[in-house]
Amino acid sequence: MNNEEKKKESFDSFDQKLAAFEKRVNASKNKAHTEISDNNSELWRIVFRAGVELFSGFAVGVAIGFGLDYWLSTKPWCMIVFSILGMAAGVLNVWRIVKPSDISTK
Amino acid sequence: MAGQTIDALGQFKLHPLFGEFGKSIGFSQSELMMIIATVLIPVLVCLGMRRKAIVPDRFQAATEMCYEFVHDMSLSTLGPAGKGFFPFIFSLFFFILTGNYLGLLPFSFAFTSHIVVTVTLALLVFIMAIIVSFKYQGLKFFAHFMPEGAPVAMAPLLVPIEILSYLSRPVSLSIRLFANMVAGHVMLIMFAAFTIMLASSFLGVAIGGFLGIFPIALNIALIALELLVGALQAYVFAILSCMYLREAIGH
Repeated sequence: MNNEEKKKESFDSFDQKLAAFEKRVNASKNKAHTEISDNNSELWRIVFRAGVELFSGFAVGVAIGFGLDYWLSTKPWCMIVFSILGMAAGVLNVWRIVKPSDISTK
Repeated sequence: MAGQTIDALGQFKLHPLFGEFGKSIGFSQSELMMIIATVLIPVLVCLGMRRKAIVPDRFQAATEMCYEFVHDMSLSTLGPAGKGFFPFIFSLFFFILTGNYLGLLPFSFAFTSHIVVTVTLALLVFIMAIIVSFKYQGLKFFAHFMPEGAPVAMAPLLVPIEILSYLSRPVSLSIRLFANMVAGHVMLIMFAAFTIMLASSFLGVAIGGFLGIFPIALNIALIALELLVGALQAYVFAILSCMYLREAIGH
């Protein structure tokens, strides 16, 4: 009994030591995964991501507009409306990436 | 590749394998690499955990690190519900990672450089997120398309924008992975072609061949960059899937 308790205790302290060691060695592990770092080398990643988001919103808008035009034969009205909405959606996507964290809007 | 033109995109062409059989079912090198990746991951994980030592050797430590990395990622973004999604995120992450890395080997093929594959993966995540959000939130899912606090008069403008923004997610998810892989492989083959063009140019093999060392040196650096990009893109794909799923679970 006593022996087992001792064993458990030693295991616990081992876990604590391991956690402390990992914290020391691998500091990046403790960072939250979602936060955007302001590290300069990661900046191009965010820029590229923002560009793709901007483009994809527009692409979806054009695709939907084209599809609706084709379906309803209302050329070119749906295309015009939905590409503008798509651009707005792209800007919204970029805003969600770059918005400061202390602003709570969606 | 020899000659004066650079055929940068020819490497992404699909060729049917295994003669008539492969032709009839459309089995190309892309499918072969996918099967290799799918087999490789469980085999490596099982081999790594074969000994189950308390003090792991290098192979086991690497396997545990991979496991814990994805485990931490899914738990820190998804909370307690992340345990259920962890197998999905794990297979997604390592399928893409293995695909990216297998594509860097000579004579192999990077299946993640085809938009069909990345769109399928992104749609898988997208449809799964929709199903999950219906399960967790029911019809309140549609309330997400109207931003809180916005005046109702603005709804005809805001709701379509929100819907388009939501629909653009799988597009951006797939284009990012696909574009990164294509750009990397095109750059690799461009610099490889420079070496051959230099050696066969008017400079002759002696001078041109010597100058050809520089594109090769650049290519070595590019391979290192590709290793980084491959891991990064797999990570980005996995983390964004986690974030979409978190939003689906949310509230």
